[in-house]
Amino acid sequence: MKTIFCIFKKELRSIIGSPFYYVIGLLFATFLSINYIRSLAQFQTMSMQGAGLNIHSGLFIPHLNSIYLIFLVVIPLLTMRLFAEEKRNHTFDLLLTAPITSSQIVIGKFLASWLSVLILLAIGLLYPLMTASVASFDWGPMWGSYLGMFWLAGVNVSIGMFASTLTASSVVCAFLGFLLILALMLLGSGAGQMADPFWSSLLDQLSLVTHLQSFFQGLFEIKGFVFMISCILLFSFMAIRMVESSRWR
Amino acid sequence: MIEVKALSKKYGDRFAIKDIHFTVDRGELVGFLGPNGAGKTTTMKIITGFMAPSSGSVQVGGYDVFENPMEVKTQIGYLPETPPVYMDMRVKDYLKYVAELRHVEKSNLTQYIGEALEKTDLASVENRLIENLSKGFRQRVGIAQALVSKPDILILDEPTVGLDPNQVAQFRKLIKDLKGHHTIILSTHILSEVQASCEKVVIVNEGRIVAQDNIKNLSQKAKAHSQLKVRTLKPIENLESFLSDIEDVLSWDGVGSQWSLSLKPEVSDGEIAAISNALSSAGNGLLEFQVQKAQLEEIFLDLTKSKSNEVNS
Repeated sequence: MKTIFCIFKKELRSIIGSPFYYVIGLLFATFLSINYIRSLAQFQTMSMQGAGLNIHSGLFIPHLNSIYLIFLVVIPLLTMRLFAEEKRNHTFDLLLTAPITSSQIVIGKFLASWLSVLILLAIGLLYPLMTASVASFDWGPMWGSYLGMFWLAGVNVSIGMFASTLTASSVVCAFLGFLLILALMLLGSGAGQMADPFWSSLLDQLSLVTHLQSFFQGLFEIKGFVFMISCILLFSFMAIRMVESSRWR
Repeated sequence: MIEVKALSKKYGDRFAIKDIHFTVDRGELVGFLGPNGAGKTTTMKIITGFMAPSSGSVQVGGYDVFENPMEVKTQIGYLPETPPVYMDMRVKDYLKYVAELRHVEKSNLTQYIGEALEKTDLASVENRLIENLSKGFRQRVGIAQALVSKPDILILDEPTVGLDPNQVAQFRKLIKDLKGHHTIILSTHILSEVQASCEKVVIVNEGRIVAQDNIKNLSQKAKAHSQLKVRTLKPIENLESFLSDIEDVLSWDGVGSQWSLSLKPEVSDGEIAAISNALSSAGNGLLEFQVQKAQLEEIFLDLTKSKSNEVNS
């Protein structure tokens, strides 16, 4: 536990201490602001036309979707260095010869990057908070959605981290992470094309988007939690195996 | 303390090391010598638990490296070929991180870090980013990192690479200070390094051990020849006539007034005196007469060369 915390502290400092993180934070906030203003304007027009949209699905869901989209790019960029850089700078030698286990290394690094992404997510939470000062709405689905985003960030970080264990080149790792996350995201869109109901529902349930949507609706489904946590465990486990395997090559 | 048995490591079809056996006793300082690519680093990486061997076993302090890796790793401080430093950390923070990873008690942290900084003479740069340090300083940070948890065993892979002559001298002093407190394995391809600090030498070539003994025994055993350097005022016309009756001269090489003679390893002082008498009485004006006993360098060349010749033939 102490060892995990030690690695966690070091990783968090190296992520948050790097200018790169702030550049990402700035881009993140800029993109969100532009999108938020746009969806606000859209929501306004639609309300005046009497479409009867509620604020959650009219304003906040587009906002959450844009966070989701940015995460697709931002998370692989934040996680690409986790292992690739250790290998390139030969600091991996230090970790592998210290009296610590591969799982401690992976868990420490995972938690640190997860937290760094959650800080970005907190920036996203500022927009509904500001809206709350001028309008009143039901916070229930909002918290549900953010709980979904919380787990989504974990899943994407674990995928990005796994990608980072694959090669020593950061750029390749970022790209691989991006592709993996994209694949998991697009899996569900194939569901509608399938004629066979078995394959259709299988793809649907394997898709991150399906589970995320139910969180966005404010639904707390056990299968959503189970799916997200399983993904995190699966990719972290594969990362541990990859770290372990570097001893055998 | 360290027992290496029948260790082999294969990369694809090629053996990086094959059937390596050696033992190191507590408190010993062992030089691990060999040309580049001989398998020094691979062997060290296996002892530290960084990688697994294809076959064979390593015991450190009674524990098997692969069955009880944690117990073994707490005992070892390791400096890899490239110092494993984080460019974005400050020297002191970095040492603290390493000490924590190596389970140093919280109450001892400050003291251990202070001692490591002092031993490697890094106190003046303790608050600088490692990124901004020169190669020699980074190498010293690497050494400090290996020392910081006060391990019983130090494994140093080419520790003097990148150090200037002053720092090399300082490093040798450091090694002398550490001797006795730690069991040390030091790899290098610089021979004077081993001669200056090690008691025992293990010479590897092409993945195999070609010799292992203390330096004195090695010099006696080696087939390397002593050299005799001769310089005269007037050119020597017919060197053979001087040397025909002296059996201990194996061959000679040179022109005019400069010659170098190879002597048998067991040549006696009397024989050398006979050569000098013969040369001086010839009236060529003997200016220099220098006997060079076989150095570790020649032993090394002899052992590593003959091995590769055998392989080629």
